[in-house]
Amino acid sequence: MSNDIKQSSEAKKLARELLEQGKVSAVIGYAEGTLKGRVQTLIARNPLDAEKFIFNEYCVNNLAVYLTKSYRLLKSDKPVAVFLKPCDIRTVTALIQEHQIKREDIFIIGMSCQGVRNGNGLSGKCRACRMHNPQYSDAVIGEAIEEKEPEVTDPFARVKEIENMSTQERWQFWTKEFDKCIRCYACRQACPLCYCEQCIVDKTQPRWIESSAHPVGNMAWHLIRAFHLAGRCIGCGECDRVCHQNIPLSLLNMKMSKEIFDLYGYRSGVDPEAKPPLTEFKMEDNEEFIR
Amino acid sequence: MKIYKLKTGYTEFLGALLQKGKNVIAPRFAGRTLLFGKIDKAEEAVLPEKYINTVRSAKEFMFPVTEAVVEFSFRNKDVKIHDAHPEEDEKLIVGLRPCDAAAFTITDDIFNYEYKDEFYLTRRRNAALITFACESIDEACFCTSVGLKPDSIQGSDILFKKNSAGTYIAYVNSEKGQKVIDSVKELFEEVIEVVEDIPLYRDLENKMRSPLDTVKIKEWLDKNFESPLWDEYSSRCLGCGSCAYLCPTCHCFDIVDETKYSQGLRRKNWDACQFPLFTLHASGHNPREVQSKRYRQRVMHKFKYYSDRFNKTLCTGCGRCVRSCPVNLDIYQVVSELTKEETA
Ligand code: SF4
Ligand code: SF4
Ligand code: SF4
Ligand code: SF4
Ligand code: SF4
Repeated sequence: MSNDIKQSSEAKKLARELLEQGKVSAVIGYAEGTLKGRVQTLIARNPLDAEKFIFNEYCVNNLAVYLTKSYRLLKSDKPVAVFLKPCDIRTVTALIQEHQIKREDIFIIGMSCQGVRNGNGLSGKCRACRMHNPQYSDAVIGEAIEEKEPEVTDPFARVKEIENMSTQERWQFWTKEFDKCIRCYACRQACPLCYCEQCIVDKTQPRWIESSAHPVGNMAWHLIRAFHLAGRCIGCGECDRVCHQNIPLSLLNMKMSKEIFDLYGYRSGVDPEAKPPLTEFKMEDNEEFIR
Repeated sequence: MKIYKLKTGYTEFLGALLQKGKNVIAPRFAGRTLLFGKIDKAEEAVLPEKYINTVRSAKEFMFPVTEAVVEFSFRNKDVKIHDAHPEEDEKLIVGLRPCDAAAFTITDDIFNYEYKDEFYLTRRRNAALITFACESIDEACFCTSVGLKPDSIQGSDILFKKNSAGTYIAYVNSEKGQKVIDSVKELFEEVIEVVEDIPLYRDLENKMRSPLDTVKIKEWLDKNFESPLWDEYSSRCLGCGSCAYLCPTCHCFDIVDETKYSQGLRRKNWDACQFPLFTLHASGHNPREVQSKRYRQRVMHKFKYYSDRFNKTLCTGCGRCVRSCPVNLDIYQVVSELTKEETA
């Protein structure tokens, strides 16, 4: 049996059992899509629906996005189960650290993962991935995968290229990219860490960020979002994937991750015990940048 | 109306229009993204055989993402208000697909309804739509479900099709179209004899997703506003708005005032029913407080409300919403499956 089929059938079986035994209120997973290379999100509430679950190389979405936001499924007294790839599990860790969810409210179905595709090739995040086996899971689907050196050893290579541009080149690069933004906010909606009940861009009294898709409004939007994700973004690449205008949003978030790592040695979503640096004060914190 | 043969290729055609000083808008790459944009050199435009469709539709040339509608300034109690006006220049929108040209014949009704939208209507009057029939389709396309075809002429001022020899044949569909041909007459030769029906277009038509029954869909929607299926189908919707923003027929907007010191602009910006703020009342009440209600609005508006009011489906089957939805909430699949269900 190929890996896909095996993992899919294990996933169906587990989802069915969890729902039959009433251990969870819902299972959030992947189902067959209508287009080649695409999968659909499926929120199953009864055991019959569990038959539709699949897992394959196209399961690129980070389903942890359903754990926050207004459609919280966690209102029930039972936990909700979610299919999460090893990289997606970092979202749960980050959300717990930020007191958005409780560990006992989530049943993590960890999917061991060889890498997923986005369009034609291996997704960018998978090229540099060093975590093919799920951690902190309540159940693991799939066999253990041998960890090996990834194809891309420096995930920040592209960020460094941009850092090396002159200020003017960098300005040009980003104004050209932001020029395409039509302010649909798909990037925010697909981001599991953009869960604010009222996003700053929707505030009108006073209005902090102009909502019009003109150069000023777009620049302000992208800068504020990058700042808000600093030290929080777990690098799932969803913002990037969903932007139909192909604006390389994850470069901004990677840059912020790099800064936070350089300053505090902190990576979001990796260690459930760690305190997010921007919510904690330590006497020995690096403060050379405060002038 | 007349039929012509184009004696040159696409690029030469655009080149000739540019030479005559025309304002040409055509699909070209902005980074990795294929978008309509003003071209300065004919070579910038991507050849019609090289793309299925653009990422964004051409609607932004009548109804921009953002535009100023009023200018204001104030000093103490002295307030000055001026109307802003749309630009008046002529545009040739070249290389659009039949679904996008047809979309304007649908949105014309709403922008020309009780309130006449000067901004849309002025630009619409000044734009010629020069369509190229589709040479390829993908799994997301479903124009045959809404009465269109890969070579429909609806809405186009000129429709270009290829004959089996690969020559472009121009079907002129309006005065505006004729004027464009006349402006570069040397490139064209009038065709008198009947032109063959090209098998390519019929092949594409047959390869497309099987047509939806829009009459039956409407009947189902008429009865099922409260169906529990809405929640079942759409609780996974992220409310990201991609579907509406890329749709050639979605036309909702928001009005915002943006001020700098003592002056500012009132702007008209794209908006979408998929956003929680869309129907939020000042009282705090929101009649569409959950995503499934917002998604229901999308489907209802496209396949019922617009049809109740204008007797048209608010969709041209361009497939953009299907391609762009991050969770593959496919409107074709949703309406075809919903209507199979018994009326609740
Ligand atoms: S998804 Fe892309 S186009 Fe939409 S708001 Fe985000 S960056 Fe802009
Ligand atoms: S900012 Fe982008 S990469 Fe980071 S968590 Fe949000 S969606 Fe994922
Ligand atoms: S951009 Fe900022 S305010 Fe808006 S949802 Fe994301 S974190 Fe919250
Ligand atoms: S609803 Fe979808 S398929 Fe129909 S016109 Fe709009 S984007 Fe195209
Ligand atoms: S594109 Fe998909 S997820 Fe986004 S609002 Fe439309 S239906 Fe919902």
